[in-house]
Amino acid sequence: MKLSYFPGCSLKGLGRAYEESLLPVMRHLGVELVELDDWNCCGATAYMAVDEAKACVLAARNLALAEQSGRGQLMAPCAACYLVLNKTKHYFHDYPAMKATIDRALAAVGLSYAGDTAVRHPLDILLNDIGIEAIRQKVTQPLKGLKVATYYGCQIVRPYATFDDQYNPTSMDRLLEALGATIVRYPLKTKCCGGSLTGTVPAAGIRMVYILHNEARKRGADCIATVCPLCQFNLDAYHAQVRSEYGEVVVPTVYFSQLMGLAFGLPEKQLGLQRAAVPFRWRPAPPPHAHLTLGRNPVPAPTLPMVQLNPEIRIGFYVCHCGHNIASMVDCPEVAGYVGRLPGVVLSRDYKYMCSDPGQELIQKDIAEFQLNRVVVASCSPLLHEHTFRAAVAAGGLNPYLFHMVNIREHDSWVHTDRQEATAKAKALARAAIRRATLARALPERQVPINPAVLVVGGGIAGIHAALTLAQAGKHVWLVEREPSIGGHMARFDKTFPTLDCAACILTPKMSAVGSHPNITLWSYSDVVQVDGFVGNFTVKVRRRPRYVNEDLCTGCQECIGNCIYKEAKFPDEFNEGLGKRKPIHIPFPQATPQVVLIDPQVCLNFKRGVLTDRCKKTCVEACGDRKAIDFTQKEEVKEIQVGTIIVATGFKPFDVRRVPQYGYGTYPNVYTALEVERLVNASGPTAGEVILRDGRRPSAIAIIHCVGSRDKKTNRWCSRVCCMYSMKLAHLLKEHSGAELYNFYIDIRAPGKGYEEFYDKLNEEGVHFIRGRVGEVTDWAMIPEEEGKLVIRVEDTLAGVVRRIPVDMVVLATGLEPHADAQDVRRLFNMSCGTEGFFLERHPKLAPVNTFTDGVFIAGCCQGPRDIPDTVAQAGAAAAEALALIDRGFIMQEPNTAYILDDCSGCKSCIPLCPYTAIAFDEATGKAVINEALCKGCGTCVGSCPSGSIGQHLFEDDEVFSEIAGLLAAYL
Amino acid sequence: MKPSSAASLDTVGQTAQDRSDARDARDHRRSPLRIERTIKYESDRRVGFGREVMSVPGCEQLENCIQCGTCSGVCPLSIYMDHSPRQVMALTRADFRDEVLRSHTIWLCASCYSCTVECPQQIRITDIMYELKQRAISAGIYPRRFPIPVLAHEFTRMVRKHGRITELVLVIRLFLKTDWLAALGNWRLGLDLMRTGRFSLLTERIKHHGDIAKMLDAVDHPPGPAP
Repeated sequence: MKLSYFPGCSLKGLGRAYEESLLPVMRHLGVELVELDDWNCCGATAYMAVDEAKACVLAARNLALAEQSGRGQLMAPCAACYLVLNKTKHYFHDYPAMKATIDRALAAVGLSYAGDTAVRHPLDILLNDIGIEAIRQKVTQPLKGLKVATYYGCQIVRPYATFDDQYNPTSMDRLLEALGATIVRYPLKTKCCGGSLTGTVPAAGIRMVYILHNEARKRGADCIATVCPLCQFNLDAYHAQVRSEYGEVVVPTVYFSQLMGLAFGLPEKQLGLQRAAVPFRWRPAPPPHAHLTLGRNPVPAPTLPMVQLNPEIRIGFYVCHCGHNIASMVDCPEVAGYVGRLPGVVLSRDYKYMCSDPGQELIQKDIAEFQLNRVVVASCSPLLHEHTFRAAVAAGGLNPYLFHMVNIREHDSWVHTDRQEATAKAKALARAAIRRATLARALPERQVPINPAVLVVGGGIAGIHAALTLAQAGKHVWLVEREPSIGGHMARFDKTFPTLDCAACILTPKMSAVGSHPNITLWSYSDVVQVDGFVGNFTVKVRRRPRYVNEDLCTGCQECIGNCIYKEAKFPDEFNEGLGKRKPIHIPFPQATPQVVLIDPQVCLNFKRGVLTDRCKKTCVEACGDRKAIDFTQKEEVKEIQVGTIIVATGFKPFDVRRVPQYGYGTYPNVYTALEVERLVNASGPTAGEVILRDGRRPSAIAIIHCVGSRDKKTNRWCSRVCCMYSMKLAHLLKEHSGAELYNFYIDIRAPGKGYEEFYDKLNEEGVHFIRGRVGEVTDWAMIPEEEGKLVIRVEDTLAGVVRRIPVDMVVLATGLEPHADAQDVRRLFNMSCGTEGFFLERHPKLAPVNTFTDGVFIAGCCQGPRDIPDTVAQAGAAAAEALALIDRGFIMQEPNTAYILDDCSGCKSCIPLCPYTAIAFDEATGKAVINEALCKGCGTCVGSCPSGSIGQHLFEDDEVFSEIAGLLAAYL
Repeated sequence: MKPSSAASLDTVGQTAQDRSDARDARDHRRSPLRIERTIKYESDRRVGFGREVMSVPGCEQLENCIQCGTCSGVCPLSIYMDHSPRQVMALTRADFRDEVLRSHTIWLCASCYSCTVECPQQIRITDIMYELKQRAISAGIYPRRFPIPVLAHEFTRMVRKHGRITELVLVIRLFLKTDWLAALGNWRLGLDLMRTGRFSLLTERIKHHGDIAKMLDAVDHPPGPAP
């Protein structure tokens, strides 16, 4: 392996021990380093502060030299050089002006840079090119018993994502562990060493050096291992200042490469260890015993049909201003004037709001007065108002399919910035529509009956409420829930804001109503796996997972649980977020609906890893006795049901807080998620409502951090809407249950709801602290004695204008709401759309909030976006009402966009397997295909695929489509 | 790029309003309560300053700041700052140029990039700090003998001349130009460096050192139309 090597000024100066140790180590591993010929200063930090462009030019000269050397990779061990070289490369690619400056400056000295050189850090090369194993093989003097604090500093991990994690880099840890060293947990591993401030503003710089030493010492480190010459210099050379101000806290600071050299058995003198002001001595253990751990057919191009202008065509054209939405970018009167002169147009108007009642009446009046037989409206998207205008045209006595709509808002005025060009585009779109409308045919509407049964997917509060509403109206409902019990997230909440009603008390009556309602078939522990058909007539397949208990026979007596062979509950309990324990046979929670137990085959002794072994004594079966409800042979079943409408209420997933490692979840046991705390304060929760921490202590100060996984471009951009309120609720409950001091850390308090602001007031009166500031980090290193053993919150109190450190015993992370991980699969299943953030998309954000783009499929609750319980229930009611409106009409009118077979069908049958609705059959008598109009959904697949072009489609006739294209391109033809 | 005297620092961007405030303050000096105006008038703004900063590569995202304070919360040096990084962002966006350029904050920034990677709006705060430092240096707004701009200045001079930095020479020049007494205070450090073989005053220089000046001049003089 051969690489270019960029030492940088420090490795030839104060940091020469780094070079002295790194070069022999790399050579020992078979890496040949060739020092870049005539390299210059990288343009580092101090230069950046004077002139960024010049700093980049300096760096670029080195990148150009490296490129010229023919070795594509440049190793830069100094953290500052590594960053500046990388930053320059980024700027070179991202900013054309910077690239031009660099090109010009390099040209002045006869150099050029193409932008290819890869800048590599030695750690990156060691771990990813050489590999831990190869390094382990070279170890002759393992660093057994050496405790190391690995200190990465700032610039190799920030700001660009490079070869290691930005928040918790581990490459050096893994490397040194392979050498036999013990790594101490060091929460300051990416903190700043003070940079040049040690020299320029010593009061600030020396203090930072002190903090780094002090924490390493407290954690028992024998040395601090570093990757940066400036870090090493600051930590090592200023030892005297640190000692005189802060006492004996100094720990030796070495380069990681020096430790590698020691482990490889290279002579100490060669490793520059003598250059440290604070000497590092390591006496290796005696050498270990001799074991090393070691083409389809071409279709003739269609000829553009000659449009035979029917003298009786009388088109009325309307261009809508849509207030300023269209008129500000499109000159509407000009478009109206232009279209008025096109053949066939007898009337052309522009009007402020065509969708308004007067606008619609205008169309009706004009049809009568001017004997219009075609109507074209240029306005917004057909998704919004095609239906409106078709109805208006029908009310005027014209067949609704003689109406055509042009979108000059979403497709034109909203997306363009040049008024002249946008107007020209509007004219072209209108011209195309006029040509198409000329050929439009009157079509009959189709009536299809609706199946009155409804499928509700998801048994949270939204699904429960929708199902009950429909059932009470006499409709049959299939309620399908993935979990063993309905209830969703609400069942896990302790209280609800702002009224502090007990969540279980208000929810469980509804749950048992669902369980006992004659019109509701509840299928829990089940998933929808396939959906076919269309509005009014869906065929749905549901997979029912085995719970190894017969639902019809189980009475919910739970005697089996008491008699399980496991005397103690010892498996994490899902309902209590793993804070409590359950047995293999269990019921999710006391009020679970259905009241049916289930067996977890992953842990039940009668199974081994989910496979039945029949080895258990089956004390549960004995306890069940004559009821005979337990059935170990139960298998997964797929059932098929017929429904007319579907309500999707699949809810949300709480944000995974491990994605924000700086808040310490998983590292510090006393950091909790909000949902865990809901269970912790609940009377039927794992601690019976007492606030006892994971380490057994009771907290005297608690921090609640808002916006975890919300309002953050690195995770989720949106506001999750409920976190401010539930954080306040939890603050109230935690204070009530523990008497602790409560701190809320928020960016903005969002309390827009009935009684919400008043609740905020109430909390202020209760003495809960509200600190406006997004928390930087949760850590456990202490600056002052009061912080010892505590979790420390570092935050700017932005209203007071000071940075504060606040020690607490417990941290609650107010997790945001996000779509389920499988939201995309569910979306495809029901043929819905998702917004960019992954929540299901409503048909219109204001006017059709529970409809989707698929007729007959409605959405409710948090699957559409974060919302609280009142809004969810309101939305579920709305979805149920929309479904009822469809059902009670008894039929739906279907767009007559079906395909039909023309006479020249050759009977090749190639269309038959392509039809997704199995609507095409082959007629042996005539030797041609036939389409069942009742089944055809008008997708057009067969039309496009017919090799002889002998399938037509209503509303999308070839001549209509081609004349529209010709109209669009008329200016160019 | 000459550092200003203390007097001129005080008069940077002075308005008629400032002068009248100064008069008021003098009148109040007899009172034990020392007061100073903190209210901002529209005339204190340098309209367009914020936009100008936001037009620099890397600084564009500033317009999205939601003032959450994450930058100050993670900044290891915010404890010493007169304006927290968050306040610097707000003042910059609101065009209070003089307030920003006079702030200690920009000089205390050690470029550790913590704020940049933590910012929920992905504002590259460190790059904005660099930009503000550059503006302060070119406007000459910093205290006399203040070491950081002097360091930056000496650094660039040395790079231009030799192509590389000889760290110790740089540090010694810095102390001579700012506070040579402080250099004496660091005698122990110097001794350590000598003892450990790191004390070298031999100037590092590249072969084609003339090239550096040529490149840097090419940055300053974009090719224009021939005269």
